[in-house]
Amino acid sequence: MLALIAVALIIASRFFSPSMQPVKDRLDGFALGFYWITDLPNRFNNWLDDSLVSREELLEENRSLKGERLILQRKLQQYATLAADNARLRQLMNSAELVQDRVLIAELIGVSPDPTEQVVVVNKGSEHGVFIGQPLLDAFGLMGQVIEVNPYFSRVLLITDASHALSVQINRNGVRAVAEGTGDLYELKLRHVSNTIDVKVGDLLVSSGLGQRFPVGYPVAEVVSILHDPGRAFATVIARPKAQLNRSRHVLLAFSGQRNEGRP
Amino acid sequence: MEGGKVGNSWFIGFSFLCALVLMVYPLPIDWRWLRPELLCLLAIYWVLRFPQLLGVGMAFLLGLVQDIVQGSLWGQHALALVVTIYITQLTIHRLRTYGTLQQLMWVFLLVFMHELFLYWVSMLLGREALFSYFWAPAVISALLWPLLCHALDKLCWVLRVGV
Repeated sequence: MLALIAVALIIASRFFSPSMQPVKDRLDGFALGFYWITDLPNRFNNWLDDSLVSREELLEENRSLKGERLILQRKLQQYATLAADNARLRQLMNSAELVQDRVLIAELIGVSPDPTEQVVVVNKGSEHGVFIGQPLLDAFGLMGQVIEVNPYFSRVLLITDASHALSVQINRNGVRAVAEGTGDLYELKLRHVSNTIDVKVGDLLVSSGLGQRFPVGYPVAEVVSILHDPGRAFATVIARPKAQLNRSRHVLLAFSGQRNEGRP
Repeated sequence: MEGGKVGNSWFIGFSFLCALVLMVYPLPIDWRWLRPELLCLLAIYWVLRFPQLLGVGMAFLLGLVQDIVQGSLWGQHALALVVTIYITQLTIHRLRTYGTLQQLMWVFLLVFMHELFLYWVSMLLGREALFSYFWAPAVISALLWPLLCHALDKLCWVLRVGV
């Protein structure tokens, strides 16, 4: 009897989720407590790191950070001229100007325990302006998109989840493709790449912005293997995500202007 | 233990809370599939110990709470736990007379079935589940079973649960 109720509940929550949303939101606040608790050891660790550092270590870190800043500043000088160049060229071509993205720094506080889905929990929610479909990045590339928002936290579907796909282009020549997740954390697959297309191992794939969801030009993955099988209509292209999906703790939520709802 | 009331039953609730926390404790994303089904184990243990307190109805509620906390589809864990606890109740007398090793095997089967129902639902949703997702948690949970039994027996004795 209860099993039947459970089955009914499964069906209900699968197909009538919008009408159950208010209840869900309320109860998810309760769920947040658990993630908060499991995050405590991590925060304690961070606090220890911050408060129990010797003077030498701090000096050392300061020195290396200064060096890094110098290098980055040099790059930034070039960037200014490049950005100006780019804007001028775009004006010449009458295309829209690239909008600078605003970002929100967030922290990963949990990972979904279900191994069949690749979902992480981030400690920013609708109170901070997070919305469904918002892209998540780390320092190395695109990580995923927000699929569930609560006032104080949100769940993010990673790009390698088997139900996720995004449009990318090869940075070298601008060839467009669709990168699908495979359920494996280190693998993306390019969909429908014909055998004659110019793609090489080592090519960088960047987001093309064609899905109207992810901003243009963020690195997504690097091609690691290409298989041309004459028996098949398309080549099998495997790429490895640039973002450190299993390591990054500090992540960025990007605001790219448009907002649209729903899963891809 | 034969009476309807169980003393210090707060400990049972507390143990479930701890299990829930451990169920969402972030493991490295590559190793998630090795996580033992602690909540399921605990439910089996308490049903064996206090069958008058915990039944299929409680299992349903517990599963639902787990669904809410883990963010999985509502009813997924509830369904799996209800079936598991129902079979535990059917075989309760046999299970109690078993030795440790036999109990361990039986718990392996129960948890395996729990996983079977869990991933059956997620496969209906179109997700991919590897075979290792089924057996790994079942094996680890079964190996944990004697340890858990022993620890909880001791704790119950110290805290005078059910006296």
